[in-house]
Amino acid sequence: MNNQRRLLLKAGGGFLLLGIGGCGAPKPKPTPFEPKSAVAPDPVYCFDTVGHMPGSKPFIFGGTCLCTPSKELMATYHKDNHLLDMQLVDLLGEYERRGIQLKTREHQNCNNLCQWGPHLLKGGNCMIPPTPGTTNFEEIRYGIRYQKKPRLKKDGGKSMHEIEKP
Amino acid sequence: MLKGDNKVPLQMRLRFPVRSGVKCSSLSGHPRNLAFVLIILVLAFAMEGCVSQNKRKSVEFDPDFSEKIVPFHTEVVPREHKDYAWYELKRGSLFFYNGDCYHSDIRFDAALEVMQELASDEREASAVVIAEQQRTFRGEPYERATAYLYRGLCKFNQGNYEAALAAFRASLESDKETRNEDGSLLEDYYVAAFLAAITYERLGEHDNAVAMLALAHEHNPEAVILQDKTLEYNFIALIETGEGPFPVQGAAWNKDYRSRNSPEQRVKIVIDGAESGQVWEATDLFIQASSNDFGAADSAALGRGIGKAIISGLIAGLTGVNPNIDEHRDLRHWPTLPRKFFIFAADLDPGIHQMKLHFYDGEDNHLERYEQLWYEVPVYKTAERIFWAKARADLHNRYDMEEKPLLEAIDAKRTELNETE
Repeated sequence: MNNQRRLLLKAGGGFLLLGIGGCGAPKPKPTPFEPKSAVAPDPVYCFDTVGHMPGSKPFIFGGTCLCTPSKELMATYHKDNHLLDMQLVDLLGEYERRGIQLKTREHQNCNNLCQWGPHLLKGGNCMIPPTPGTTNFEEIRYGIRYQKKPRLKKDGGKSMHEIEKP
Repeated sequence: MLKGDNKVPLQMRLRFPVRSGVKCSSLSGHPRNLAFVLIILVLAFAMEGCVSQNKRKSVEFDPDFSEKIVPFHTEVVPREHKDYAWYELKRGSLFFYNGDCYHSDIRFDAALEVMQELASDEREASAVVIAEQQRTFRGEPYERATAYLYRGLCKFNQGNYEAALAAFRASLESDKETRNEDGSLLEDYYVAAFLAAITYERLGEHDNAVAMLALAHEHNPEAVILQDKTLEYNFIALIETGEGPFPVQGAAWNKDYRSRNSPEQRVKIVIDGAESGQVWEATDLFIQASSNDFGAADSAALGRGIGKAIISGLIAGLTGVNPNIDEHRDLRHWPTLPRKFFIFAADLDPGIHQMKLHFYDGEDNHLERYEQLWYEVPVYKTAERIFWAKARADLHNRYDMEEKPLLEAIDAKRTELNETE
């Protein structure tokens, strides 16, 4: 009888301890919040959605213009003394020769997630204007990438985060 | 081989090994058995505590997420699979939420092709299927309506207004399967009605646009946004909040839904630092889901349920073992849908504007973590593009984040382009 009671007490005590242990474990703290800066970075690159930046020339020729070629755009380039020896058909040929995908009626609004992606700036071959209201849009516009800050180990070695990032 | 007294009932011998010669008339009479039960309870409770703690992980913002969806271009299941449409809806929304209207439209089209094929229920009424989950997924009316809505948005932003109008009208048509308690049509998918009106206006069909607005305004007299002058506004936005409805476990003809608790109940939009325009709660998908009519599919399910109960009873009577063949409810649903759609309309100067979205809970408390700030939102002379955003916690949380210049990628690309010359 005493053995029975001891066994029941042990089991019950274990029940309470582990149950409380399960309940009493500290809850994970939410990530601290830091709002996005109200001041936008300086725009670097232009594309169809935001309009051409006066004076810029095509990215493929060392400039910062990622606009889809058009008659109006060629006129602007010539006015800024760019590509004076080229016409629209020539410029389109340059993009095609490099395998760069431009916006067409059939191929648009992919936000550079198509088979030719990512965007040209990120190393891909898609030059479709990025979709407004997306992180990709701002990254292309400002020539940046939003990413986690690298964490260095105390001994100066690389953290797993750095190793995984190219 | 179990040791035990042959007089001990079969069920008890199978559950617990019994010492030879010991008779057990009840489980509670044996101290070792009771201790064994208590130990199992202890372990189960402890494990549940550990598991529940492990589930509470915070989801951190991953800025590379958008490019990580590229592998999802690969088909998940073949078209013949019963879950094909279900997966296509999920793939479609994955691309849509990452700004890829091009591929999301393709995915939604593929899903709707299957879902519309199954409109006829006569075949299913006579089919004896062991489990409802084995049937091909066709979704509920609100899911089909929303798939058409997203297609309409994609087509609108591609400048294909005819196709956009067809999609919005198809969305309204899908909603016609929902009914009031008195059986009358509950045409309340007003978000599609509003966007159809905007599309009519883009196509130059002003009279149709006015008629479509009037349809929505009739049931929403307090919504100022549903007046004719809104058709002249040049900026339209569609904002999603909350998490969509999901079916409750039960019998196949059970129409109950639940909705996950999400804090965001109201949205305010600030353009260039000033509150402007009008925001209107256009559609609540939980109400849409809960107002589904008991239609042909449900009648078929009820018929199958009765048939399966009879078969189950016959098998139990013949063999002594109840196979429990039930007509359980299909719990498959579109998990990434929002709870509510809000429409925002404003008349702004054409150009680039900064836009900030503020979200509030049910007690009008500001939800700081849900704030979204978009530096440059293009506005045109006419509403030729619908801006879309979805409420999400920590989307613009910049804690532990940095802005790294794309110098390496740009230099590498320039080198590659120069080598091509």
